[in-house]
Amino acid sequence: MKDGLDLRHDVQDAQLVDRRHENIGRCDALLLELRENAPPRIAAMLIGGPARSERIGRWMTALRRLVPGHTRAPEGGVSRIPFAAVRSIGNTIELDVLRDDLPSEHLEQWLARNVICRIPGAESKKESKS
Amino acid sequence: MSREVALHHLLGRAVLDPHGRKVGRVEELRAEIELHEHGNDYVVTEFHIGSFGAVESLAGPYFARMLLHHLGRLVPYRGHVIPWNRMDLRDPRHPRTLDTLEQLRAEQDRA
Repeated sequence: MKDGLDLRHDVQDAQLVDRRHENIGRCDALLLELRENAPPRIAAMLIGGPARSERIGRWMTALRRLVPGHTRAPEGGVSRIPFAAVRSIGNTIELDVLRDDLPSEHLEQWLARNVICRIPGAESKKESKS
Repeated sequence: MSREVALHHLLGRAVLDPHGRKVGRVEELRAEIELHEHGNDYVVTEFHIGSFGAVESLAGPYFARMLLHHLGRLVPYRGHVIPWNRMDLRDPRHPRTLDTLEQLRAEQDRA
Protein backbone atom coordinates (compact mmCIF):
# COMPACT_ATOMS: atom_id res chain seq x y z
CA MET A 1 0.00 0.00 0.00
CA LYS A 2 1.24 3.53 -0.75
CA ASP A 3 2.69 5.53 2.16
CA GLY A 4 1.21 8.87 1.19
CA LEU A 5 -2.11 9.59 -0.47
CA ASP A 6 -3.55 12.65 -2.15
CA LEU A 7 -7.16 12.13 -1.17
CA ARG A 8 -8.82 14.03 -3.99
CA HIS A 9 -6.46 12.73 -6.65
CA ASP A 10 -5.90 9.15 -5.48
CA VAL A 11 -9.05 8.15 -3.60
CA GLN A 12 -12.11 10.24 -4.40
CA ASP A 13 -13.86 8.83 -7.49
CA ALA A 14 -11.33 6.00 -7.73
CA GLN A 15 -12.54 2.66 -9.12
CA LEU A 16 -13.23 0.16 -6.33
CA VAL A 17 -13.04 -3.61 -6.62
CA ASP A 18 -14.09 -6.27 -4.14
CA ARG A 19 -11.98 -9.18 -2.95
CA ARG A 20 -12.93 -11.12 -6.12
CA HIS A 21 -11.74 -8.15 -8.22
CA GLU A 22 -15.26 -7.34 -9.38
CA ASN A 23 -16.04 -3.68 -9.91
CA ILE A 24 -18.24 -2.27 -7.16
CA GLY A 25 -18.42 1.31 -8.31
CA ARG A 26 -16.45 4.39 -7.42
CA CYS A 27 -15.64 6.08 -4.17
CA ASP A 28 -18.51 8.56 -4.15
CA ALA A 29 -17.63 10.18 -0.83
CA LEU A 30 -14.85 9.95 1.68
CA LEU A 31 -15.60 10.59 5.34
CA LEU A 32 -13.01 12.17 7.61
CA GLU A 33 -13.25 11.90 11.36
CA LEU A 34 -12.29 15.20 12.99
CA ARG A 35 -10.75 14.58 16.40
CA GLU A 36 -9.60 16.77 19.25
CA ASN A 37 -5.80 17.24 19.29
CA ALA A 38 -5.25 14.55 16.69
CA PRO A 39 -5.02 14.62 12.91
CA PRO A 40 -8.24 13.96 10.97
CA ARG A 41 -8.60 10.23 10.34
CA ILE A 42 -10.01 8.72 7.16
CA ALA A 43 -12.98 6.90 8.60
CA ALA A 44 -14.94 5.42 5.71
CA MET A 45 -15.89 5.64 2.09
CA LEU A 46 -19.42 5.79 0.76
CA ILE A 47 -20.58 4.12 -2.43
CA GLY A 48 -23.97 4.56 -4.00
CA GLY A 49 -26.23 6.91 -5.89
CA PRO A 50 -27.43 8.92 -2.88
CA ALA A 51 -23.84 9.73 -1.84
CA ARG A 52 -23.00 10.85 -5.38
CA SER A 53 -26.20 12.82 -5.90
CA GLU A 54 -25.56 14.71 -2.66
CA ARG A 55 -22.27 15.89 -4.19
CA ILE A 56 -24.01 17.06 -7.34
CA GLY A 57 -26.75 19.06 -5.64
CA ARG A 58 -30.21 19.09 -4.11
CA TRP A 59 -31.92 18.86 -7.49
CA MET A 60 -30.12 15.57 -8.15
CA THR A 61 -31.16 14.21 -4.74
CA ALA A 62 -34.78 15.12 -5.54
CA LEU A 63 -34.53 13.51 -8.97
CA ARG A 64 -33.11 10.36 -7.45
CA ARG A 65 -36.07 10.00 -5.11
CA LEU A 66 -38.23 9.42 -8.18
CA VAL A 67 -36.36 6.20 -9.03
CA PRO A 68 -38.51 3.15 -8.19
CA GLY A 69 -37.00 0.83 -5.62
CA HIS A 70 -35.21 3.73 -3.97
CA THR A 71 -37.29 3.56 -0.77
CA ARG A 72 -36.84 -0.19 -0.41
CA ALA A 73 -33.06 -0.02 -0.65
CA PRO A 74 -31.38 -1.12 2.58
CA GLU A 75 -29.52 1.72 4.31
CA GLY A 76 -30.78 4.12 1.68
CA GLY A 77 -28.77 2.38 -1.03
CA VAL A 78 -25.48 3.66 0.36
CA SER A 79 -22.64 1.33 1.30
CA ARG A 80 -20.47 2.63 4.10
CA ILE A 81 -17.16 0.82 4.02
CA PRO A 82 -14.60 1.45 6.78
CA PHE A 83 -11.28 2.60 5.38
CA ALA A 84 -9.67 -0.26 7.31
CA ALA A 85 -11.22 -2.58 4.70
CA VAL A 86 -8.85 -1.20 2.05
CA ARG A 87 -6.44 -3.94 0.96
CA SER A 88 -4.43 -2.08 -1.65
CA ILE A 89 -4.40 1.22 -3.49
CA GLY A 90 -3.16 1.42 -7.04
CA ASN A 91 -4.97 2.05 -10.30
CA THR A 92 -7.97 0.63 -8.49
CA ILE A 93 -8.69 0.36 -4.78
CA GLU A 94 -9.19 -3.19 -3.59
CA LEU A 95 -11.55 -3.64 -0.66
CA ASP A 96 -12.03 -6.58 1.65
CA VAL A 97 -15.77 -6.84 0.95
CA LEU A 98 -18.06 -8.80 -1.34
CA ARG A 99 -20.07 -7.00 -3.97
CA ASP A 100 -23.30 -8.92 -3.25
CA ASP A 101 -23.31 -7.80 0.39
CA LEU A 102 -23.33 -4.11 -0.40
CA PRO A 103 -26.54 -2.06 -0.07
CA SER A 104 -25.40 0.11 -2.98
CA GLU A 105 -25.87 -2.90 -5.26
CA HIS A 106 -29.60 -2.97 -4.42
CA LEU A 107 -30.66 -0.85 -7.40
CA GLU A 108 -28.52 -2.86 -9.80
CA GLN A 109 -29.93 -6.12 -8.46
CA TRP A 110 -33.46 -4.71 -8.68
CA LEU A 111 -32.87 -3.72 -12.31
CA ALA A 112 -31.39 -7.15 -13.08
CA ARG A 113 -34.41 -8.93 -11.52
CA ASN A 114 -37.16 -6.69 -12.82
CA VAL A 115 -35.89 -5.33 -16.11
CA ILE A 116 -32.90 -7.16 -17.56
CA CYS A 117 -34.22 -10.68 -16.85
CA ARG A 118 -37.48 -9.86 -18.66
CA ILE A 119 -35.72 -8.99 -21.89
CA PRO A 120 -36.10 -11.94 -24.28
CA GLY A 121 -32.86 -13.90 -24.36
CA ALA A 122 -31.58 -12.56 -21.06
CA GLU A 123 -32.50 -15.72 -19.15
CA SER A 124 -30.62 -17.97 -21.55
CA LYS A 125 -27.58 -15.70 -21.28
CA LYS A 126 -27.76 -16.06 -17.53
CA GLU A 127 -27.99 -19.85 -17.79
CA SER A 128 -25.11 -20.12 -20.24
CA LYS A 129 -22.97 -18.02 -17.90
CA SER A 130 -23.57 -20.33 -14.93
CA MET B 1 -15.41 14.25 20.94
CA SER B 2 -15.14 13.48 17.23
CA ARG B 3 -17.38 14.13 14.26
CA GLU B 4 -17.35 13.30 10.61
CA VAL B 5 -17.13 15.50 7.57
CA ALA B 6 -17.16 14.46 3.93
CA LEU B 7 -14.06 15.29 1.90
CA HIS B 8 -16.13 16.99 -0.79
CA HIS B 9 -17.48 19.40 1.83
CA LEU B 10 -13.93 20.59 2.51
CA LEU B 11 -12.57 20.75 -1.04
CA GLY B 12 -12.97 24.16 -2.60
CA ARG B 13 -13.74 25.86 0.72
CA ALA B 14 -12.21 29.29 1.19
CA VAL B 15 -9.63 29.27 3.98
CA LEU B 16 -9.17 32.41 6.07
CA ASP B 17 -6.31 33.48 8.30
CA PRO B 18 -6.86 34.59 11.93
CA HIS B 19 -7.55 38.16 10.71
CA GLY B 20 -10.26 37.00 8.34
CA ARG B 21 -8.20 37.42 5.14
CA LYS B 22 -8.53 34.83 2.42
CA VAL B 23 -5.55 32.50 2.11
CA GLY B 24 -6.94 30.42 -0.75
CA ARG B 25 -9.13 27.40 -1.28
CA VAL B 26 -8.68 23.82 -0.17
CA GLU B 27 -7.32 21.96 -3.19
CA GLU B 28 -5.98 18.73 -1.80
CA LEU B 29 -5.54 16.80 1.43
CA ARG B 30 -2.44 14.71 1.94
CA ALA B 31 -2.80 11.61 4.10
CA GLU B 32 -0.20 9.28 5.52
CA ILE B 33 -0.36 5.99 7.28
CA GLU B 34 -0.23 6.03 11.07
CA LEU B 35 0.83 2.90 12.87
CA HIS B 36 -0.54 2.10 16.31
CA GLU B 37 -1.19 -0.89 18.56
CA HIS B 38 -4.65 -1.72 17.25
CA GLY B 39 -3.82 -1.47 13.56
CA ASN B 40 -3.13 1.19 10.97
CA ASP B 41 -5.00 4.32 10.07
CA TYR B 42 -4.64 6.87 7.33
CA VAL B 43 -4.59 10.35 8.80
CA VAL B 44 -4.52 13.74 7.13
CA THR B 45 -1.14 15.37 7.58
CA GLU B 46 -1.32 18.37 5.22
CA PHE B 47 -3.86 20.65 3.63
CA HIS B 48 -2.90 22.09 0.25
CA ILE B 49 -4.36 25.54 -0.17
CA GLY B 50 -4.16 27.36 -3.47
CA SER B 51 -5.37 30.53 -5.10
CA PHE B 52 -6.86 28.78 -8.13
CA GLY B 53 -9.19 26.54 -6.18
CA ALA B 54 -11.66 24.83 -8.42
CA VAL B 55 -9.62 25.37 -11.61
CA GLU B 56 -6.70 23.51 -10.08
CA SER B 57 -9.05 20.80 -8.87
CA LEU B 58 -9.89 20.10 -12.48
CA ALA B 59 -6.57 20.55 -14.16
CA GLY B 60 -3.60 20.86 -11.81
CA PRO B 61 -1.69 24.05 -10.91
CA TYR B 62 0.52 24.23 -14.03
CA PHE B 63 -2.37 23.97 -16.46
CA ALA B 64 -4.44 26.42 -14.43
CA ARG B 65 -1.61 29.01 -14.42
CA MET B 66 -1.00 28.61 -18.14
CA LEU B 67 -4.71 28.91 -18.85
CA LEU B 68 -4.99 32.15 -16.92
CA HIS B 69 -1.86 33.60 -18.60
CA HIS B 70 -3.29 32.79 -22.01
CA LEU B 71 -6.51 34.47 -21.05
CA GLY B 72 -4.49 37.61 -20.53
CA ARG B 73 -4.78 37.77 -16.78
CA LEU B 74 -1.58 38.05 -14.81
CA VAL B 75 -2.48 36.18 -11.67
CA PRO B 76 0.42 34.97 -9.56
CA TYR B 77 -0.24 31.53 -8.21
CA ARG B 78 0.02 31.20 -4.46
CA GLY B 79 -0.08 27.80 -2.90
CA HIS B 80 0.43 26.90 0.73
CA VAL B 81 0.94 23.61 2.47
CA ILE B 82 -0.62 23.78 5.92
CA PRO B 83 0.18 21.06 8.46
CA TRP B 84 -2.92 19.55 10.10
CA ASN B 85 -2.09 21.10 13.47
CA ARG B 86 -2.08 24.63 11.96
CA MET B 87 -5.64 24.30 10.61
CA ASP B 88 -8.72 25.11 12.64
CA LEU B 89 -11.55 22.82 11.51
CA ARG B 90 -13.93 23.41 14.40
CA ASP B 91 -16.33 24.73 11.79
CA PRO B 92 -15.51 22.70 8.65
CA ARG B 93 -17.62 25.03 6.50
CA HIS B 94 -15.33 27.92 7.47
CA PRO B 95 -11.81 26.49 7.82
CA ARG B 96 -9.12 28.79 9.20
CA THR B 97 -5.37 28.68 9.45
CA LEU B 98 -3.70 29.47 12.76
CA ASP B 99 -0.93 31.32 10.88
CA THR B 100 -1.37 34.74 9.36
CA LEU B 101 -1.06 35.36 5.64
CA GLU B 102 2.33 37.04 6.23
CA GLN B 103 3.64 34.02 8.12
CA LEU B 104 2.46 31.70 5.36
CA ARG B 105 4.05 33.84 2.65
CA ALA B 106 7.33 34.02 4.57
CA GLU B 107 7.22 30.24 4.94
CA GLN B 108 6.57 29.86 1.22
CA ASP B 109 9.46 32.22 0.32
CA ARG B 110 11.80 30.26 2.60
CA ALA B 111 10.79 27.03 0.84
